[in-house]
Amino acid sequence: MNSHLDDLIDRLADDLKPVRLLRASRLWFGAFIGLMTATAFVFFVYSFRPEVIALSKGVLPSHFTPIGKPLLFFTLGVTALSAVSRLNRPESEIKLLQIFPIFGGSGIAIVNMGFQLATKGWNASARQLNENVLSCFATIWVGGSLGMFVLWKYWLRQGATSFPRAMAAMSGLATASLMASAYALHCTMDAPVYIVLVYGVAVTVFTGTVALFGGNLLRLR
Amino acid sequence: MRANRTCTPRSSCRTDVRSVSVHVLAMIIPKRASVEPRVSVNSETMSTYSPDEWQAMMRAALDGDARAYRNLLQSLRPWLVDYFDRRLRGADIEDLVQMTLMSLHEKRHTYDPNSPFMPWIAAVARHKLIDYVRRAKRRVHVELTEDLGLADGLGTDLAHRDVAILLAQLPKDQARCISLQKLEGFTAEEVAQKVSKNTSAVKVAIHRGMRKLQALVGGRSR
Repeated sequence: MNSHLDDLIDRLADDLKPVRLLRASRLWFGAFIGLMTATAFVFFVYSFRPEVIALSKGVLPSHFTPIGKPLLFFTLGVTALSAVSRLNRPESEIKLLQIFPIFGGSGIAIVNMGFQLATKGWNASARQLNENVLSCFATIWVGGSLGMFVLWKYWLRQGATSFPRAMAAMSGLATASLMASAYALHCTMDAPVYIVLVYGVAVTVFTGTVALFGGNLLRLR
Repeated sequence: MRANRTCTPRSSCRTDVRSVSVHVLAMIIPKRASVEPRVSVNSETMSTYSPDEWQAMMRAALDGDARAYRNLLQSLRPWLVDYFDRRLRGADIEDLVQMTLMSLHEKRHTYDPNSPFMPWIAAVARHKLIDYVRRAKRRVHVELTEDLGLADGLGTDLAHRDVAILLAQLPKDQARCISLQKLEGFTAEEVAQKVSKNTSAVKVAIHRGMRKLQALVGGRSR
């Protein structure tokens, strides 16, 4: 036993080189670049909605949703990204309080939808689900997938998480939410039912898929 | 610098160990065990742990200091042997130590030099342990002892975390029953009173919970 381990220790010590430490700042910088790229994509391909363009000229929108919708998904994305940055070390864990904004934001959106359904009924609300659904889904999924690829290449595969499934879920939620926040700068569908059943479902299904398939990939070996 | 502590595997634990053979991997410590690590000396299997020195050596190793790294690995070796030996009776400890040292080498960039070293190395070792149980797919001896974790110098929080990770994967009632009986030392009757169930239901919940834990870590169900 001793000789094998001695040999191994000699080999590892001889092989030692200074390493580049895992720094969360790299993750945040990459996420910033990714979000800017996604925003530029939305601007050049779809263009921003009028209220956002007016906002850039200092004119506040008449209601909160043109700001609130991107802000909601931005909050979800940043919170999830924060969890991703915390979880990437073997000894790290996250507390429920640290991801509370995810539950808070989702809760607000769902309560709003419930209020809309209670006041307008399902039929009237469902009519607001007809526009740009495919475009919204496709943008969130394609953008989220590209984000996941970059995240995997430059962050996830270098880490060693103790919670691979949670890490995968948070990664999926982060990339899909940030893409959704960029797309929301274009989308004029502001009904709560649309935000939950189109955006919310797109982000949730993406998150679930990444959690399902990503968990094994992220297991510390 | 904290003084080195000397502890031995299995030494003082033997007096009050509740030893069971099950299919699951469980690193369990009672929540009521707010005691200092028991320290005793056994000249044959003595291991020392010195977290502050290891942290300093690891920091130097991250900068490429091969001598400090060699010292770190050498001094970690007996600690790892004890760590695995305490948890798995009859396992291939050498393999586990080798795999852990290799994993330490490959993942050393994930260590934060400003954080304590023990939680990091304990997490790496725990992963190797879980991988071993998954691959071995055979009966694994589990010791439920008040000293497990503390004897490794890990502290109750880390030992509790090991347990929490496992129990979080069970339905709440099963996890609570296991926690009350296996961790807090209540009898099945006392657990039944606490969870407002009859004793048979508690025994069934514990049995199913343990079987599920085994399935979760990759072993065969009986």
